[in-house]
Amino acid sequence: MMIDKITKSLRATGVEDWKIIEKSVESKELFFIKKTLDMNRAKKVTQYELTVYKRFKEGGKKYMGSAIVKIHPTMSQDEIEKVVERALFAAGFVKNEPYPIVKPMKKDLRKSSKAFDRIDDIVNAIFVDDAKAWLNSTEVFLNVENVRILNSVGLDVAYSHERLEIEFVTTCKGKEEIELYWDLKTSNFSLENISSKVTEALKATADRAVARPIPKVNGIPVIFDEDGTEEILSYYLEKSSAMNVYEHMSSAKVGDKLQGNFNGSPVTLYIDPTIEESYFSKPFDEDGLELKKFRLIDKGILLSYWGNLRFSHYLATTPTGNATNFCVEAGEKSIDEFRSGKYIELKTFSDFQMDTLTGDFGGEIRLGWYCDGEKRTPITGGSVSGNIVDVQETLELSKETIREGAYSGPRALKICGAKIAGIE
Amino acid sequence: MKVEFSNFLESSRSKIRELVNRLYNHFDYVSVLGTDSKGSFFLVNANGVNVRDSAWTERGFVVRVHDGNYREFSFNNLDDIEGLERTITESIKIGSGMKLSSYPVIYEEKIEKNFSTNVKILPENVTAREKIEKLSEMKDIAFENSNKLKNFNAIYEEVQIAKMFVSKKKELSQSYVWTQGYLQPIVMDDNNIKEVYESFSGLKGVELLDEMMVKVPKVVKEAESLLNAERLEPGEYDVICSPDVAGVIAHEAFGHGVEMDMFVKERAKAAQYINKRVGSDLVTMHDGATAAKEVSSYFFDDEGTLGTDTVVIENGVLKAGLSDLLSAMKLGTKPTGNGKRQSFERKAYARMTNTFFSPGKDVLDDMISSIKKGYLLEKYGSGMEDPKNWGIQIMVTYAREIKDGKLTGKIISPVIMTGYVPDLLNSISMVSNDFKLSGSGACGKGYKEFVKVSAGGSYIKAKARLG
Repeated sequence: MMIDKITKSLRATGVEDWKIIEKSVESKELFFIKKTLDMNRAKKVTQYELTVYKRFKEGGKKYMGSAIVKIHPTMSQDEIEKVVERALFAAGFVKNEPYPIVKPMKKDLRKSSKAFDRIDDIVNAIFVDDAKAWLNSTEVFLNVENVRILNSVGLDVAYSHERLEIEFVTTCKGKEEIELYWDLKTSNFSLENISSKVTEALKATADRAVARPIPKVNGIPVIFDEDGTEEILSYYLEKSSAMNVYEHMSSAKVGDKLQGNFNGSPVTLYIDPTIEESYFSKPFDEDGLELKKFRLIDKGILLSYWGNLRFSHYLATTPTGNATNFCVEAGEKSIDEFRSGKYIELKTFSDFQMDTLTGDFGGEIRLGWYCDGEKRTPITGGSVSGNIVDVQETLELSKETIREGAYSGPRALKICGAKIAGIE
Repeated sequence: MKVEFSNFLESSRSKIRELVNRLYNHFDYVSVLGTDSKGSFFLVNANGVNVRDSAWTERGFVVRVHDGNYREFSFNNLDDIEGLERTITESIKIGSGMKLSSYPVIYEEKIEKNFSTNVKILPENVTAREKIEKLSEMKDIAFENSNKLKNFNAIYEEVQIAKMFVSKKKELSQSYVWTQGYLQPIVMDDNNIKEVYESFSGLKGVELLDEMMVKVPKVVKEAESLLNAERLEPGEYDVICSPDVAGVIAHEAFGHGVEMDMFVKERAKAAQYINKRVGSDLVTMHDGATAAKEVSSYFFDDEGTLGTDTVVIENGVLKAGLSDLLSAMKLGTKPTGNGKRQSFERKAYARMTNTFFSPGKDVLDDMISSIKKGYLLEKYGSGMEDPKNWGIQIMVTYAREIKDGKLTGKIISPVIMTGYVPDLLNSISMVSNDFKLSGSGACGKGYKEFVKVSAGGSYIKAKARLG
């Protein structure tokens, strides 16, 4: 009914090109302190996002303006019409190069969900027992989402998605109590998978409880195990973005050796929207463009950009749609093979940052291990920093893989040349 | 000009009252927060223009009920109040196997009040065309000032907040406007690509665009200087933190650590340090919706508690934390009006508002003169809290080298500042008499629940580990 009200206002205001995204979300949310439920919440909301396009000419040049507005289900017909008029007016001053909108297609992939029936089982899977560490607090968000995308030329596609987020904090007592923060985002409701993630987190927390301040060392290899791996490899994904190239945030050209002359592992990178258990998978992007798996980088060489219809059109490249998940092919060495001689192995950070424009990376270390060539000691504190362009020559990828959030690929990577700010 | 309240919320008031009354048949406490916030976001750069509704735009309701413990339901349709009553009571039921926390019923005193602010130029009184033209002019000035500029983002966002809180004894409404802007040059030479930003914010209207315009040449030159930046040799140094960096220290180091829902969870080391020394005598820190006029200045929070000004640290001694309503009930303390939600769709947590170090008596030049070898930390990229263990991480965009009491002109970028919070605060030896707050961007709790906050203070001199 709201879609009818919006299209009526679009007709009344003379809008020719438009796109509507309808998103309905139902959720169950649980907030635990230790094993006690402190509060619970539920949600039932529907949001509408309308894009109004306007084609116009100025000084002999053609433009395609647009403006995006939110339409609320409680808006009257009169209110909607005023919002559409405002958007159309603003779009008339948005001087963007023309680009097409997604061609007509009808596909309804929505299905009913019984996800909420599983919430008690999910909770039971989270609360695993551990002798040393424990769950301090846990937040569970189970969302059932239905999305429909329509446009003015006849596109009408829809899909549904079940999404689970478990944010949890683990605690352990060493010299003093310490904690680690975890955020699991998945559409994989496998209870074994959930329990195993929590068990692994509790084990890492017990290690941090006995960790020593990081020593003042430099010039030794650094292994990133999970945390940091995805962020560092995302540099190559962002360099391959059509939008970043168009906006001068990347100078990468098809055929470029993105890794330079490397001695370590070649990077082969895909985007893959079809990974079933990913929180971020979806069959269509925000324009309604159907998404498919696409290889972008082969052994360090850029094969193609990724991007939505607009930026792909500007660069005259095949539109892949906006990236959801990115995948990197595994390397040949195991993490155990990385662990030779002196090294620092880093497991978790306060907040690892990768600046994909400059290649600078860094973060404060919450848990890692220092090996002096013989003995392996848990370490904490201090920071690691570097620039991917300076160290990528030595980059090695592990053959062990993980599937976490929007990333699927090597679990660990090893580099030489990163700087460690040690404490003692 | 006065910021008017939402017609939609006003016209929904009777339906909301009906819903509250109906739900009292099932529960012993009911409140509803209604929101109708609208805003626009404008971006102009060398390649195009982006106009859309602000991400802070929202219209909807969240109901909170008490049934031994507290439960909530978020919705954005008011068509059928009777059906909504059924949906709410059904949706918030939980499985029988869970152990539940127990809370008393919220005690409320009767209050009915409408609050609003004034701004110089209301967003609705200036057309999108005029705003885009001003941002385009900023972009053109930027390109006139540098041949190394590859792109320049001129960003302006305006949001008009309207909120209504209804319970049996409370009837509150508030409306105010905040704006924020960014100037973001991206420069490139044969070897490097760098970016920097200058941000602007306040309880202001469209007049913010004029503040932005005059700063364009300065931020372009700042970006160019980063092309010659060198990397830092990790170590411990004497540093001077700009008000921006000092603000992020106040926010990350102690702000998050005194959010009192963390006390309830036993996640905050600060709980054991109330009335104990955590910093040097020069450290006094405030947080509060009424402590300053910036983007997180409001009259009541998202739980219907009136905003306050909390002295968190006084002359180096930790005095008080920041609480939402439920944490205060658990801890037996007075709520400080810090219960904030990302939107009507999310839970309320104890959150910061405007957090800052109070000014001191020193002068920046004297502070620079006092350093043999060290750095002036100018701008930050991000920060992360560690309330349990008082670790701190701040990504600093760039630092200026100080040698023998003088700025050498050498730029270092990027810099990671890490350390143990009390060590850092105890090392503060000089505090300038300047004062600046910045409220651009958003603050998360962990990696979610983003809310508007401001932070700042003065220039502070301290010892810090840089990497």
